Amino acid sequence: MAEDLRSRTESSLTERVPDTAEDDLGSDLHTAHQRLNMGPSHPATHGTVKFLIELDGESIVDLDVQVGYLHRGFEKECESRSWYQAIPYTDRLNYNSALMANVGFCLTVEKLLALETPERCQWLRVLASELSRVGDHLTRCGATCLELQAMTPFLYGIEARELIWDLQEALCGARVTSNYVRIGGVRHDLPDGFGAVCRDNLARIRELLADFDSVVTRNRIFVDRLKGTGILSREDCIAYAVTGPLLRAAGVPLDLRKSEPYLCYEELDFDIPIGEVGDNYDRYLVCVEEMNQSLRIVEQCLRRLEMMGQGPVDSTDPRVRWPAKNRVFDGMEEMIQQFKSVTEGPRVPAGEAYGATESANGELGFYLVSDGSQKPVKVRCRPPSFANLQPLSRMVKGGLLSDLIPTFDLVNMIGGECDR
Amino acid sequence: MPGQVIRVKRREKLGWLERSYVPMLVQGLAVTARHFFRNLAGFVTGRRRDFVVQFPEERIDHPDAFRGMPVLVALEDGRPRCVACGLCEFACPTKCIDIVPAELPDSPVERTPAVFDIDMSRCMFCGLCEESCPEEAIVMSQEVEIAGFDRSSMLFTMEQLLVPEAMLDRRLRFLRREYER
Repeated sequence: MAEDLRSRTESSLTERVPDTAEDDLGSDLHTAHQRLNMGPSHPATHGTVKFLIELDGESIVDLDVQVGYLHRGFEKECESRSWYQAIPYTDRLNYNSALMANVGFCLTVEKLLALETPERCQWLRVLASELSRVGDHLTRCGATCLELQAMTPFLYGIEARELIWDLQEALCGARVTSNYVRIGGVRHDLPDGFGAVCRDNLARIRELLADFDSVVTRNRIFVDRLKGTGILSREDCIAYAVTGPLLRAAGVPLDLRKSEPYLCYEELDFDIPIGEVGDNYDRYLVCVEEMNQSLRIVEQCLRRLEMMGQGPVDSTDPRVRWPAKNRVFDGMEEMIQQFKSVTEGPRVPAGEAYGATESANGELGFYLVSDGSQKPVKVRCRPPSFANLQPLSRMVKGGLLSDLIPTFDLVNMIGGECDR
Repeated sequence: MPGQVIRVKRREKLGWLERSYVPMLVQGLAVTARHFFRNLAGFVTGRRRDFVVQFPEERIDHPDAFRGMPVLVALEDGRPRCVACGLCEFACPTKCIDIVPAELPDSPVERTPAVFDIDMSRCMFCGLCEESCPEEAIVMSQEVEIAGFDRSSMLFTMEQLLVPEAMLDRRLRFLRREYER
């Protein structure tokens, strides 16, 4: 490979300076590949990751991704705690869309318990997931613009995300670390007046998305930087188990919300955007369209929740349900049950289950093994970022060093999720 | 299942005018100017739409559900409502709560914490202590300004954690509304 490139460099030089031996600078010119360490803490990689790049001038000959800098033993941490105590830790996987990890984990535990959740709870979970999907894509597209030196669209994206996080704060009590979903239910129902505020914010988000689009999508600088860079073919995507917007940008219409509908996605009306070539421009367009679809889903959820009227948001199954608090205060039976629920947690029947959800980055899977005790035996998380990051060297090889930046941004590797 | 697969429209073909950068330059200026004047108008009329908070003169009013730092409810006589049952200690995923119980003579509850420490450098504000408490004695406040200069200052003792019940009225009302649902 190296010799190949050297001879190519030489030949291109001889082309420019032909014939005469004393003018042939190429034969004497000593060129060697340069090794460059990019990261682990680099302003253009918002995620703690290191690239070992072999450069020939400005083009990338080889790239090695080194992950693991944010490893904190998520799986082991969950295994040393009871089932419900693991939920706050799933917030810290993908901190742009914490709610979707909450939902994914609880759905898998419910699969082990063979538990049905009330309808209202399911709609609330979908509402929360889709809100955070918009937030995640906004960060992804905004950060891509930022790293291509377009500060303004980034700020519009962050402004829109702020509106999402305001809603999330009103719903869950925290902007980032939601800890909203419970095994068999959710923590809170919709707060009063949520519908009106949400609709107001959605309208403003749409305005900001339109501004974002008008500044960037047909901007020559943006198009030139994204078009034809970081291409990953459909076959490669499948071979590397790439999922999410990256896979759909390559033209494969796989979305777990459609192919294996969970919660109440079957009843929702939304489209799946796909791209053509699988370059960065396609990825950006797919993300933008997914945001529009998610906003549609949020509106449908709101309508549905309002139509439904008040109802239970928690499962009534005594294995997972904590007693109603107002009865705990003065009822002996409930008090005892509260003590048992907290100190022992739910006992999940022995067995194993794999639950996959479509998170913002792709298939977020949890593989759980239980031996029937209070703690999981094995919690394995299948992070979409990790699989999506694998073919990065294939995407950027042969391209320019500067193309690595938008490619890496649109892959949207989240350290917390990739390294666990 | 309604909905379908749609192909995104690649709008990459640029005309000669667009290739000259000029229309985008004008459009970009127009968009940013619109934002600028709208934000300016918001400042002048007092109906601001930007998100900048002039801290510490201005503070955000968090929603009712907001989980700030966990605090202990103090009764009217200044004593904690906590009976040192240790459930929050059990529920806490990070094990940041440390309770030493003591006897409380001449009282129907009989127990009180002698020591109730929360290591705020480990607390992750998940609210499981509040959820597990059978006495409504530990609740999440709206307080988030807890920075300190060293690690030892992040260890909050019972005296620092006690907050009169009247000041936690908003949170308690919110929680009670939740119980009824």
